Amino acid sequence: MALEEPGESRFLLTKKHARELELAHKYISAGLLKAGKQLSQFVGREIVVQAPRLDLCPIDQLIEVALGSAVEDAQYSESERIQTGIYLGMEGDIEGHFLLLLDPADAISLVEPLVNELAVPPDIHEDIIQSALGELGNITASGIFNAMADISGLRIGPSCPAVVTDMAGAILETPMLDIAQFAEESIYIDTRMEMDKLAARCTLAIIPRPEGLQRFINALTPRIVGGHK
Amino acid sequence: MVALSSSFDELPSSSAVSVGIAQMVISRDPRETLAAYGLGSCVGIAVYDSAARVAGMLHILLPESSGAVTEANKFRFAATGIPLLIKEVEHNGGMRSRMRIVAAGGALTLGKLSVMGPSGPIGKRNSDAVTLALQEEGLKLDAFDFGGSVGRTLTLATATGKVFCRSVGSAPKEL
Repeated sequence: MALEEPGESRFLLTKKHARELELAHKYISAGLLKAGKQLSQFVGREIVVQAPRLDLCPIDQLIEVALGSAVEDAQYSESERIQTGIYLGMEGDIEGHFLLLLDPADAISLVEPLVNELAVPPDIHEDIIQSALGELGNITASGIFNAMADISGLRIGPSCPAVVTDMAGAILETPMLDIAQFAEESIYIDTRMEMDKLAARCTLAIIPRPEGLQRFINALTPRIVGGHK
Repeated sequence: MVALSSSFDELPSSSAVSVGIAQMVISRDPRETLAAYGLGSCVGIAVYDSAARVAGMLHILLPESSGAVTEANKFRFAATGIPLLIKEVEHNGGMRSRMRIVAAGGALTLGKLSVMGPSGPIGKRNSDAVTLALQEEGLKLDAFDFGGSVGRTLTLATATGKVFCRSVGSAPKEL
């Protein structure tokens, strides 16, 4: 197969969209703060979710960047680190993927007090933990999707959640390679979650498919031109 | 929590060389072990020629390109990456007739949610595309570990040609 230059027909999100991304970051951060309050009510502990950074990333480097291992001589072993992944699909006007990665012990400690209160039989304890983690993802995703819908006027909703514990790279690959079929880059959001003042690092990837991302960016542009930045 | 055990135990002095997504690495350094970490739906392909002591590894993301193939993404796809891997191993002294070829990955890490788009599970398409691309080169897999729902790490020791695959919750297995 001959090598070609990238096709012009693909929507390329670039640094020229920096102002749109900045605006998106502002709204998504506000959405995450709201989600944190809802999560606090859900699990009965104080949870603060913050998104210090939203940026563009070449699709092939998403895993390294998201896992913070994009350094010289990195052994890529972050990809092998065991993480609990809470996945939801983005549905509606913007299709794509939402993935929250947490240390498995942190994930369990987040929801275990809630599950223990329910006094569930031991044989379904694990299932209830998984279900509670799915709901945790649902609340977080809804906070972000609602913020994105508010700013853009687009319809965005979550699919049912899936919860898996595996190598971080293996979990991240699934949404990543779906996007790699259509795009050369992705946005990702670096996220920190704090529980009862104890910081837990988590990785949150919001990965819209290119056509939805283009709709989203197009919806944001007039707000910037109109001085609503 | 289940810990991953090391597959480098038999080579305590070897150093791991990471083969990231859409990367290809060729090694003739007997101190090196090539490793594709955290393979989910992706596939890692290891090629070794024991006479030439040359090792090659490719980490593909997709079966083939739906758009342009460029210098920057040519190793991302099985269809374009595998011929280049074979060619580069040959360029470093390897011969097709002596090559041992092993691959792992192509899992459905997120279960039924891994089925995205009209074209079916990407993990399965990846493993099928690897087999096909090798057939088109007149080659075949000597061993493989495809499918399932767990992530894998594939390693190839340049000194010995030994290939190991490890997953969460199970002991490393030699392929």
